[in-house]
Amino acid sequence: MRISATKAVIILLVAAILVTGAVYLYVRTQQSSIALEQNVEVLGVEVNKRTAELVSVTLRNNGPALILEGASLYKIQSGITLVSSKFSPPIILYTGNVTKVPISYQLDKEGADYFLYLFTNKGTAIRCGISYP
Amino acid sequence: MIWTPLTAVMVILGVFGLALMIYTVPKAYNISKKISKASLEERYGLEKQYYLLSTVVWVVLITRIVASILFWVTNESLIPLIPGAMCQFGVNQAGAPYSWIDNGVKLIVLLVYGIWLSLDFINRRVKGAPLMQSLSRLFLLLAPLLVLDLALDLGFYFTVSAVTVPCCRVVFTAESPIPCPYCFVFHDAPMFIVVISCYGLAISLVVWSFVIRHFIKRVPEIEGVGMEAIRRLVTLALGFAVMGTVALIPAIMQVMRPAVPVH
Repeated sequence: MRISATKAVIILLVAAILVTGAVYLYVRTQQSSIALEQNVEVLGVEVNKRTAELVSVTLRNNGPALILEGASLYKIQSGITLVSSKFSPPIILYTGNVTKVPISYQLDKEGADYFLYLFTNKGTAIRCGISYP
Repeated sequence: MIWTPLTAVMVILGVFGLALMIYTVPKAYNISKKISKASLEERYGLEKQYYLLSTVVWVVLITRIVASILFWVTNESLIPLIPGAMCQFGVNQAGAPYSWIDNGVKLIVLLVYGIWLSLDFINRRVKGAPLMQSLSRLFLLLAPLLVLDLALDLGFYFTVSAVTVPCCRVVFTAESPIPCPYCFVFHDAPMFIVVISCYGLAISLVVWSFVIRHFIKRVPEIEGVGMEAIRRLVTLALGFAVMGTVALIPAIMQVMRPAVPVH
């Protein structure tokens, strides 16, 4: 079967739309399936307003001790995880303790809303909402 | 108005286009009205008039296509100058309502103006300019869109000012099913600019080829040049579609960053 160039263009376009839609749905589903940690309280988020850089997050663990393995920054307006990294060495959140977790992520200078996810060894994540500026 | 080099260029292109429009529209009307009843000598005179008109229209349409690309660049450059604007959504809020309509118009200008340009390209290559009347009429049909395009640009760039605006965060929240298109395309997944441009060009080229095919049926004199043009346009369209598909791979990689850290 011979496909004309016009048909090939239309097929490629439809395929691109379907693939992009499927990828976006997959990313959103992956994002919404993250189980949230209930026993950790976010006390504060420190942002360097001059450089628009996320500096640290202060947490209080009200449950059993947890190990933080990594973090990721999700931009709400674009629905994309902008950056993710592992903590080396992992950070331990002891029961009842307040812990300042250093994180160095660049935020948009113009501003945006974000979710910062801190992933624990239990497979759950602590979610902090960040609105900058 | 916020005066920057880019907004100044947009205003100059708008005024320039409007001035050329005032020159070309009566000429196009004159040609389309007289051509059917013209004697051989009159036809020769109209043909000469048409070539001048065609050259001016080429300048107008090409500058409008350039302006439609500059439009996005200019709006992006205005973000830091408008308090509260985080992306082009905020810039559009500052220039509402002209900006929103202008966004829609800018998406179709290449497609629509290109129809005239491709037909005129064929007309210039065929002896006797057989599409002269059709092109003059088509230009008159395009005139409202051209006026709208120019007026919206001038309205928008004269309206936009450094007022505090609510940006996309009021519309696109964590619960929104779709992302802010400006944040998504222009800031966080910029490879999609290449993808959208390539597919946009591919669609435009295919549409132009369909229009040429339609005109070949009506004016058989252009068949030879027309079929060659169709062949080239469709090949080029396929090339752009393939480029868009190739660019889609890195674009998807930009979106598919893992939510859970893996390294």
